[in-house]
Amino acid sequence: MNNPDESTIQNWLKGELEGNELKQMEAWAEENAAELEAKMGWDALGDEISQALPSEQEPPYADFFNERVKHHAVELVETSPATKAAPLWKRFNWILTPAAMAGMAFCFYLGTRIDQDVATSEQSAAVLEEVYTPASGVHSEVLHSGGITVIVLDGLDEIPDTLDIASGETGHGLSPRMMVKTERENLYF
Amino acid sequence: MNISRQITSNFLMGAVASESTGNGGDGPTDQMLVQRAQSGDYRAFDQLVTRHRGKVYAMIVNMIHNDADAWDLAQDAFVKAWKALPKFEHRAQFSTWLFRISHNVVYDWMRKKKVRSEGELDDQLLDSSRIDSAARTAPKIPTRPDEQLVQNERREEIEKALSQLSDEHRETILLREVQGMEYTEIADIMECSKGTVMSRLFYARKKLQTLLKS
Repeated sequence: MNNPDESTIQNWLKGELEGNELKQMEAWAEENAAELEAKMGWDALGDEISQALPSEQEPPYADFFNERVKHHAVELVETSPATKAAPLWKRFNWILTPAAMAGMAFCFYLGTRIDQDVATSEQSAAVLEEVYTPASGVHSEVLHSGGITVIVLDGLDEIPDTLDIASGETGHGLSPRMMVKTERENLYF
Repeated sequence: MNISRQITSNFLMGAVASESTGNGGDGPTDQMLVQRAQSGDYRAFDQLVTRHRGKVYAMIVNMIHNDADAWDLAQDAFVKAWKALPKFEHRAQFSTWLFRISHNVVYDWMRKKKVRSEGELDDQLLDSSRIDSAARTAPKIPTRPDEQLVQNERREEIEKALSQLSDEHRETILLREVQGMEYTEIADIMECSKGTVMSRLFYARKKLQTLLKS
């Protein structure tokens, strides 16, 4: 780019240049920075600013400033971030895949064992299952067959023909249902 | 920056500069301290804090015009630097990297402040006359009142003019004219192109000239 005219420079300063024009102007300014600065008389202003504003200014209570930085830095990371040990799972990252596979195999094995245990427990339940029989001399036997459980009681008295089972008689006086009925009738007498 | 200013600046800051760049300084260079700090030596980092706190604090004070907040923000910048130190790869100078962190800290703070005040600018922040002279964080009292008075008046004028610039323009001026940084360093800190830095700089200077003349 040849020397840009005043309006181009003004537009550039205002940020109004775009595209190729902007690129060309920036390239020219970069190559001719010293010339441009001198031309525009910035040096005096720069001197004035640098004299008025300090480039360095100690913060108040400088030692306390350092202490506070240290306190926050140490609080943030107990050890140096550079030497901070990697988390445990990161250090053993290589073992994650085999460990996962071993875990899956173990779970599968455990599943098969549980299934076997259930089957065994069902068998043992059939063997150990007992039925309470209050009458002495009565023995019970529990049989499982095709999903049906049959309880065989041996040693019971014969059931007399006079026993009215339909009305709730059990052979030992009135049935509970009959007792309730009798009590209710007595209540209204 | 003109030559005389460059020489003066170099003369005045010779000790710090040589220490920072490692060209014959007595103490360890920034690079050495950074390497020690990266290996977990906090004392090395503490030396870096001592070495750079003045520049960082001054820059933030000039940006936000509030000493107490600048004190907190400068600390925040150093804490963030310590946290991010493992990622520092020596591609830029430590001071440039530190200024970039400070830049982000200040802009985050300003953004939050603007959100809190619903977009309204707190004029009190920019009015130095409202700062209590007895405040513990007030600027130091000049030792030569007669000379300082004139300088303070000019400083106030410049600060007032700077406060009327946008944040980006003000920061560009401060980094260039006060901190004496190169365009590439400023571009690195402000995360923009060199051309943008130059454009902002020229526009800001022009506006400053107009404001100071009036």
